[in-house]
Amino acid sequence: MEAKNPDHDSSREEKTLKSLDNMQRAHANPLLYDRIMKSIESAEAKIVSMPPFQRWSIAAGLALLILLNAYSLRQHGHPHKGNAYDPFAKEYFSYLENQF
Amino acid sequence: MNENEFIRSLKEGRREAFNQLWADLGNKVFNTALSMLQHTEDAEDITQEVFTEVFHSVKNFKGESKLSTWVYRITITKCLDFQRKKNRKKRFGFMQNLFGEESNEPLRDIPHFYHPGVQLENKERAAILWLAIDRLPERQRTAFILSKTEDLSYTEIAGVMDISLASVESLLVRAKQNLQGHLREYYKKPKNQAQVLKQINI
Repeated sequence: MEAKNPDHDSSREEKTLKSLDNMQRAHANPLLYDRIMKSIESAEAKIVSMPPFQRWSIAAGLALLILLNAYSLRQHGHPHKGNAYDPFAKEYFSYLENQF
Repeated sequence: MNENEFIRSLKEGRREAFNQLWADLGNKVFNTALSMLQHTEDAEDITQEVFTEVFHSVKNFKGESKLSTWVYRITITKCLDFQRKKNRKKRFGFMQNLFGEESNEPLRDIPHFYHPGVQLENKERAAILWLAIDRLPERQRTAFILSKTEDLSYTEIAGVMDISLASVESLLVRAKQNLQGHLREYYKKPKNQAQVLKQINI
């Protein structure tokens, strides 16, 4: 006759697995809905509360900044001509010429 | 009011439609988040995030699935993101521990979560099961929770998780197998056996 293994009681595992059967749904805190609505309303209020003049000023400021950047790049931002290593290369080759 | 009309009123931003949405889905979202996160305050925060997102993005809802399916999907996504962030923090805490800094994160090898909807006589056993559920891989855990705590059909779970029916079946079978394995391991430990016997007064 096979002795019962105390380490392995499958009925206990099965009972545990079935412990969620017929469970009820947890109910949210009734105040949670008010909290949600307040957060939505305050987020909306932040967007609405900015007066049109302020919104247009910010937009105009950003546009001006972009234009100034573009203008300064056009005026002073010449693409680099030649190789930055040229002076070093000259130096190096002259050194070689002296050597050989 | 049918679902299309209801969605239209939500898109128009009508407060009474949103009240109705909360009445229909508020507890479902909270219960799902609570089961996924096993923490009441975190579940409340996620519920708030879900409804805020629904409020702002219902305009983009195309109606390809049921509204509830879409809301469940947002809930699951937010819960998984939240947990990934938390796990990253835990891993960082572990690294800090390796280098000698202390972490305040409690070790989760004892039952810590008591779902308020579980029948009283199953309370302690369920707490052990929640511990095992917490160790399941994400997809298995999601399918198991949607099936057990939300009582969704396989078709509904497939819709929420955007997978086939066969995949849902397979995930649930593997979840059950893994849970059995975790429980076997749990009950093998003498320390846990003593604790369980004490908890269920045997």
